[in-house]
Amino acid sequence: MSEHEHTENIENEECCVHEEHEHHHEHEHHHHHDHDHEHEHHHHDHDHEHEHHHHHDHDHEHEHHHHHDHDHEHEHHHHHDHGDDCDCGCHDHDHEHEEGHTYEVPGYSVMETHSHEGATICSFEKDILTDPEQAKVAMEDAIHELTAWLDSIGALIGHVKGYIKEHGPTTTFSTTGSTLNIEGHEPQGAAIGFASIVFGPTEEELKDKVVEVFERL
Amino acid sequence: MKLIILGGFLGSGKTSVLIPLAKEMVASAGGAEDGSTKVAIIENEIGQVGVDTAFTEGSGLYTSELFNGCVCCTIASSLMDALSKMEDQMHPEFVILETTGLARPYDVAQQLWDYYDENMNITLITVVDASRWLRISRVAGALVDEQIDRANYVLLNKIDVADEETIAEVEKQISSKCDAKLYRVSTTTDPEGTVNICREMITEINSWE
Repeated sequence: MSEHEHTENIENEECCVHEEHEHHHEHEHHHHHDHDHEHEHHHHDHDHEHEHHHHHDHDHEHEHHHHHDHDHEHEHHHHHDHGDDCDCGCHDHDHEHEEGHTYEVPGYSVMETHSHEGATICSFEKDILTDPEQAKVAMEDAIHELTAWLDSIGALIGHVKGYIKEHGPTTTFSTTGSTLNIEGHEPQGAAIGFASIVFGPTEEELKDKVVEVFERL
Repeated sequence: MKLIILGGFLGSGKTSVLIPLAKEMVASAGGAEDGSTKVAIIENEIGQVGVDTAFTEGSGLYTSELFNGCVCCTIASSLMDALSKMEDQMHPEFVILETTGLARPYDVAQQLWDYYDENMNITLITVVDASRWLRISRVAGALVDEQIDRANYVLLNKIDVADEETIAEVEKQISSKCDAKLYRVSTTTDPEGTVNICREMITEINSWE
């Protein structure tokens, strides 16, 4: 599929701004008409044109087909020319995104939160010295505790995920000129990474809960 | 360079599709005996800590990471930089971009066509969690609808944990919203089936030249 080979189907004109789930999920669907582009309005049925081919022969003309299946029963075809410096805003959208917060939490190399599209994101990274098998159990328990809390407050769990990566053996090389010392070192501990993307709690609430449930690690 | 944008809502199984897809691409390109990189991956994660890269690290595939933002908006320019670097240094035949679960794949494609390369060959594959799609649609309907918007393929994943009635309803709803080719997959219980579907998609994508 290339740029000039798509038909856009929009069921409702008002969909240009979506608000749902109390999250101000704002998304302007590519189309702003306060500029000098050529517009065509046609009346015809919904046709769901969609091709699964890739064509690359086109000029700089860009066509949007909007299909509306509502009272107005009309279709807007917008033709306008784009260049690399096009600033028409047709394809912009305003995703709600807040600058994140990083926290200095003892034992954590990274602890951050931010929000995006109504979701609250919290991720962290830390090194642990716990035995990997014990760490696995502790990680499972922590995630269960977190998801139980999220359920209890009516949050929607987008995705909660993490990893434990055991540190591998390290070989070091050292010389002052005459002899090269090569030493093998047994691995110690592991690194854990974690990310939760959920809908409901505030950044602060989520961060506090994450720190609480991962205290055991 | 063909770009595959692998999208889909949070937790739908994008990363589980990514590995077999990438491996089949390597196979379809005849391997990498000449030392060139046939397939490169760009992982975009919304958090500052990348978890998905832990899955792809051991795959032997070149992976570029874009963290702490979404390529369809806040870090779009980073994506273009990453693609440009890959194209210049590695000349891959395929690049797979795994988006965040909050991205709108078509918006990413549109930005690439508008600001990177208007002729770029882009295929949209969206992974859907069949077991959760109806619920998620109720609370984030606009987003999930836009995630399947103009997709070439929609993979209905996790069919092993959804009943037939639910799967059929999800298929019906998706078919009414887009014209993508639909496949049912279960990456956990039927990895071989997933591989076969990946192979089928790649064959078709290759035929679109």
